[in-house]
Amino acid sequence: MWSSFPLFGSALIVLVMLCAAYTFSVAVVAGSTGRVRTLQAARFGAYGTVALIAVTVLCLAYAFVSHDFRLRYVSHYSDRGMSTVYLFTALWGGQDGSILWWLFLLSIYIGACVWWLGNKYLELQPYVLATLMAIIIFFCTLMMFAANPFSTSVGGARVDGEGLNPLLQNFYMIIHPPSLYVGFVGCSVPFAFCVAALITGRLDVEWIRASRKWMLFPWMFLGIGNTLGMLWAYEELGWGGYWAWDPVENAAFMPFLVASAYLHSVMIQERRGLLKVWNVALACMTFFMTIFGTFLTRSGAIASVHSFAQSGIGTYFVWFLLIVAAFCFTLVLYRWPELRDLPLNPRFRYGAVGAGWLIAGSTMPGLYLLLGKSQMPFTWKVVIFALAVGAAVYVGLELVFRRLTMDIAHDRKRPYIESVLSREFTFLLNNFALLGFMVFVLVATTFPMLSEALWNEKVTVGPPYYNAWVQPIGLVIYMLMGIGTLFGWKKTSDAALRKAFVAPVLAVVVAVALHFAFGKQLGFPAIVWGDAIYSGGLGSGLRGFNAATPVLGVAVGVFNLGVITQEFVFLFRARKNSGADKTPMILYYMGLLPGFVYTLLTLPAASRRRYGGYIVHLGLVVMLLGFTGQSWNVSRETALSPGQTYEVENYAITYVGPRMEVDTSKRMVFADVKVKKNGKDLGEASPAKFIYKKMMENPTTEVAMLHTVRDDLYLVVGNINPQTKLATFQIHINPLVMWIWLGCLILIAGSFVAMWPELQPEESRAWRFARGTAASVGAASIGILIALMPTQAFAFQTSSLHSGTVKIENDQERDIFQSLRCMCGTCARDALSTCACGTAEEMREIIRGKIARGLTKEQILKEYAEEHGTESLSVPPNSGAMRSIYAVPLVGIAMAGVGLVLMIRRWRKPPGGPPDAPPGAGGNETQSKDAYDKRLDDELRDLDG
Amino acid sequence: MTTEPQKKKKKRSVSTEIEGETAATREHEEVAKELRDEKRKETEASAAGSNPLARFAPIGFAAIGAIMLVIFGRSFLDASIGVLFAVAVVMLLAIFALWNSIRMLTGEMPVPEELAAAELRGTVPRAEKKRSILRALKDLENEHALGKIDDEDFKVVAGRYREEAKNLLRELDTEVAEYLPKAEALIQKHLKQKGLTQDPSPYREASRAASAETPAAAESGTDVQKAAVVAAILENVRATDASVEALPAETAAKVEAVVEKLLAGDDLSRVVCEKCQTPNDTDAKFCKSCGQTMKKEEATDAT
Repeated sequence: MWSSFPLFGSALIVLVMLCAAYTFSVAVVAGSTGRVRTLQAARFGAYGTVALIAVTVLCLAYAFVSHDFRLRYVSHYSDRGMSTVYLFTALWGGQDGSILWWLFLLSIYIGACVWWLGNKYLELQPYVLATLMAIIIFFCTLMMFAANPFSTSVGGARVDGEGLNPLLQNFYMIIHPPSLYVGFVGCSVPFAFCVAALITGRLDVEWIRASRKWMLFPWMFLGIGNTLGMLWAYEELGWGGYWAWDPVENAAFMPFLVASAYLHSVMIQERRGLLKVWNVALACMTFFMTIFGTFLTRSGAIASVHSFAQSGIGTYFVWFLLIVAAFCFTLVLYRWPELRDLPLNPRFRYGAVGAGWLIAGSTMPGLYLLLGKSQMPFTWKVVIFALAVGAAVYVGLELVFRRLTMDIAHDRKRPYIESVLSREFTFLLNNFALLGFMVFVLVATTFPMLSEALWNEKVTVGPPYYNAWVQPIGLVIYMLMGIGTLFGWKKTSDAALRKAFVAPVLAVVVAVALHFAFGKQLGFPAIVWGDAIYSGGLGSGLRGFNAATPVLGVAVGVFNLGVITQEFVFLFRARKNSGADKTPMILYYMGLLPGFVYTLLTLPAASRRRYGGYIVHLGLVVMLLGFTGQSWNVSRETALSPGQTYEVENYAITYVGPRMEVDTSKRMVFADVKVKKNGKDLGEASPAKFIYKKMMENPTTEVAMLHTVRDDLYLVVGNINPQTKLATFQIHINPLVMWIWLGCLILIAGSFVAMWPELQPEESRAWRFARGTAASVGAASIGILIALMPTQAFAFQTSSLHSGTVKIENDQERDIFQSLRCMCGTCARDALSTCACGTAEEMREIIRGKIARGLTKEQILKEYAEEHGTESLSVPPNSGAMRSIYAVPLVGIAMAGVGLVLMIRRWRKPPGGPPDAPPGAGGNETQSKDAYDKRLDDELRDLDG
Repeated sequence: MTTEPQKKKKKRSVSTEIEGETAATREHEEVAKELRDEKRKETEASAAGSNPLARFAPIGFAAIGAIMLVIFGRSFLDASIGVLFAVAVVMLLAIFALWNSIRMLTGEMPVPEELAAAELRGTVPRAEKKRSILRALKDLENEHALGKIDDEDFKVVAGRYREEAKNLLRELDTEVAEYLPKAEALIQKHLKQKGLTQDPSPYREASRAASAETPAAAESGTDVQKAAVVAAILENVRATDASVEALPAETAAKVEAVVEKLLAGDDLSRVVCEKCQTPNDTDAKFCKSCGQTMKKEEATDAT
């Protein structure tokens, strides 16, 4: 038996699957029969499954600890020399293990969720359990057939394992992927609630209320994970930036955007009963995006675009995604009457399902034609596709749905909005913008795949493209964020609006004026011109806009700050006036913060959530200021001999000399530097090169940084000549970067205020506080613990290997290198400006030669593209079919406009709808002031304690 | 098999009313909630065969396992043995949970009372809707207080919401009208348990109304208090819905009787024989003094 430990592990995976299947079926039976006993059995089954998954993980841990190199996974990611802690972290270091780890995190969520559900939401429970179990079954299938961590090596047990890549052993690498995982996995729970609501047809706010915290928590971790990712890239990769729009980063960013949209739009449903379909779609899409993100990062589909579906695991994900999409699609159509407040006539259901599938089904052949290998000209393909879809839509809507439901009389209780000047409308706009942003990122990320499938042409969509477009989109979102806050629900009167806008707008005017007046002196000019990413009108338009980004960013940031401050001033004033402010004054005397926090935490639940949200906004605004700082980046290259000083901006950098240290695994060469800022000593820094024994040919770059609130000095050492001691330095001055990390901290704090547990009014205050604190601290520490668990995410392996110092002599070179990709074949998508591999160095030399010969940028790019293919350009060329990537954002904007118009039309008040004046406002008011009014007042008073 | 439905019915008699039917209006919800809390406390206190404990068992085991692991695993055990130990503990937990699941499915294990009291099919969409309207109204008030909405708009919009809420309240009341007598019984039971000396706060509406209408009620003059409480209860019942008018005679008498007894310090955990006025146990079938058949009141028999 013992000799077959690998077999035992595999058997455990089967067992988990069986157990999940058992729980799944029991849960479904519980749902359909409505028997509490069966539900209870399903709950126990869920606990059992969770425990079994833990057993599986522990068994793998045992294999690592006991150095069971029969397991391929163990021999691949550990060796006998590793310490126990690192052995544990290897659990999720590679692909197979990370899927098991994903499952494990999911099981923790499930355990917590089942526990939390208790005897709440009994109707939804069975289907919540069933959905979660179905997800477990998928991951088990995946492990059993494609990524079994217990599979044995073909060549039998080895004497020792391969061990860990030393490059992957660093702190930020350790903490950021797990924190993203916590976010990713957590999105399954709200999805499960959504599916349960769809199946039971209980589509009121119940499921939204139930799943609120379950969405907020993963959302927060997505935010933390993304920020940590930035921090990692910034601190370790050594190219001076924090976000490279790498597909892996995008994959983590997209669910964050959708979840943000969801968190806002559910508020509209809660208050107004609008947007039911939209919310359901967003909940499903968040989950979909997390799986899609995992697919992108784990299947190798995008690390390099041309190796699509190389790994066997990708196919499973594609099928799972298809099943999830089809399932949700059908369910939503089936619940169409409930979602749209139509009469519950089965014909509506069948009509909707029939029409929906007819349309979806008939696009399939068209899609096949579009993406297939047929030799037809592309234009024809598009025309045929469009015609087919058009016909299907017509048949589906007119001939199926309308015919089926024509004679059903219904006066639609159509939801409507009172006014465009309402919070629900601005929220809607914000939703559109967030989702539009997501679609933009999605299209740009998958564009290489699309273009290969559609036009058989490999392209790259690199950071310059994103950076150019993100500025307008992001600023619009930020702007809407501030504006939305200023509106009230339902309708905002002109006077109130004027009052709300005065202070923030004044602040903006002052800030912009100050910026123009003093910006340049402070080193933060209001207008900064960059390079156009496209030639032609659109390119120069974008360039013009982006030149104004600094001042716009400051303006939008100040506007938001004004709005948030004003909200809090109003809050405190109102509380003071109404005497509701019971915060002990002593807390204010201890510094404002304790009093402020106390007040926030003791607000009634609904307000607390809102003000927590404002704090999250504050965090985001602080981050925006940090992002804006990017416009004022300064980069310099220099070579210094010991004793020499180089001056840049306010900094004076004195090179002291090289220093060498050796430890068991590596040689470390430091270049010691003394830094003065404005004549004052700032400190010492030691950028370094580490040369690991295991990979002598690839020395790693260790960045040295000096952080200040205003800017970061970011020092990278290139070569150090052992004889002359001459060292080349790359010096980046990155203004306001620290604000990003600060903003993230504020964001976390805000999320906790919003998530602060709701408590029963009858609980005594001390108990309330104890419980609340315990719950929050518990949640936080679990989260942080998980986030802090060391890991080595392997997705970044390549980029880490190819990071290093790149010598760039001037801005023209930088501009050109940025727009070209390293084509050595192993660097995933590094630009020549960042890739440190040998091929890239050769390329750069060639291009330098060309520049010396006086060739223009266009000529160089053209030659490079001819030599290496279109994909070697980091922004697709503005020609032929590739133009569509330029069209995407524009089409998106146009479509959002059309959508808005449609939405407004649909939401206009129905002609026969409720009258403007309240029915009770007339003469019968006194009469209607009955016992109900009193009851209403009492209930209002008791609401939320 | 034949006893199954009966058993179920019996168990449901109190609890269904607690969970499903009476959950609709607020005061009844509160009574139900306190009842439930008390029941929970009782079960926790007695702890005999209690299911809540079973819920804590797995976590307890896990915690003990983890602590053992940390204490022993560190000092004199090799890490691999520690992991194996953890595997064994968690495996046991898994088996325990699955075993319970199957026992639950086959009916060998009793359903926890909290769950048994609940119904999977009980729908309270109106109550949900009411809650969201109330929330909206509260929001509106907040926004008004913050100065986001001017008075006129506030009046119009809030008026509309209030009307909507009141309509809902009305609908809710008609919906629950038929359960009112049962709720009444529950209230009696509850007052019994609470004893007399306590402020009848669970019956919040009543006391609030009472103190509003007759300030003297707060004082200890029993007659005044009784009258006020009775009046308030009846008023409240009547006010909530017109259809209740049909049963005032009976209800009034009942309520009055209960309140009177309460105020007189009667032990209400007993039932008085109709013939000889001897107090008997609530579950007595015959009077212990005269042998008269005791009339059984529905919904008071469950423990």
